[in-house]
Amino acid sequence: MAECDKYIMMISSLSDSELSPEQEAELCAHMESCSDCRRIYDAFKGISGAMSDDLVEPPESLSKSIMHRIEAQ
Amino acid sequence: MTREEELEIVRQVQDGDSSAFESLVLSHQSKVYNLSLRMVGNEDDALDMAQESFIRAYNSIGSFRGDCRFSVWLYRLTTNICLDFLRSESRKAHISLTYAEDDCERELEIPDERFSPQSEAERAELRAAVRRGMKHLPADYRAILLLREIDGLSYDEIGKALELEAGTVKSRIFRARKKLCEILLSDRNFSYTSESKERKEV
Repeated sequence: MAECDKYIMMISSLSDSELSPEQEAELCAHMESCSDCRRIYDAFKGISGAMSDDLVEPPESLSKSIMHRIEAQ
Repeated sequence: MTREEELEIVRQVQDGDSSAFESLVLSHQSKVYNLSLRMVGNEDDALDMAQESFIRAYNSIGSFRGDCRFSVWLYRLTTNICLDFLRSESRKAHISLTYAEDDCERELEIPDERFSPQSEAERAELRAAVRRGMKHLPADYRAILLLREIDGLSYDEIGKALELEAGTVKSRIFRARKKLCEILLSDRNFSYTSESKERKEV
């Protein structure tokens, strides 16, 4: 696990597509042989998916009440 | 709506056409409301935060120069309004909103595949667990993670929204995710289900 320390923050950046191609290639090569880091990557991606899939519709009254307040100013 | 179309509407509002602001509200109300909801944790306060964000945006739109997307500027206002609200609430309850950095020295170990749901039931379980876990995440980490996950801002845009260096954005998002994983792993209502185990054993 100690050698994984240098990769753990890169895993977060990979899940955000914020790595350079060189960094991405290095990390992916490491994850090929490291199930611990692969699980962390899957966890970060799983949480990302859960958050982005969990959007709710705002109440219909929101836009009307904003515009009423603006018009009343 | 393209960035150019959006800028044109912003200019109309800046020139005094208040009715043009409605299209900006309609375009961004879902992201602003969801950001507020996950920040403050309940629908009534989220509605107040979302309203306040748009009212403040309207009243200060003269200061928007188009250096970034309008949404980045708007989410910055929303985040600050929510953080101010949570600060005032935490003062009443004497709760810290910031994260103890040395908590991050511990290694992160994911013991099973609970974060990789396959069925809709498992996905719903993970969504509910993340919703619960977010309420326990310190507010500054909640904010940066929401800007990334709900509003889809890049690290550069988050840096502009929160006035942080790119390296700080990167490390804080990582720490927020790590802390959230730890919170979820200690959530007794969210565990590796028998359904998941059966799936793996087939």
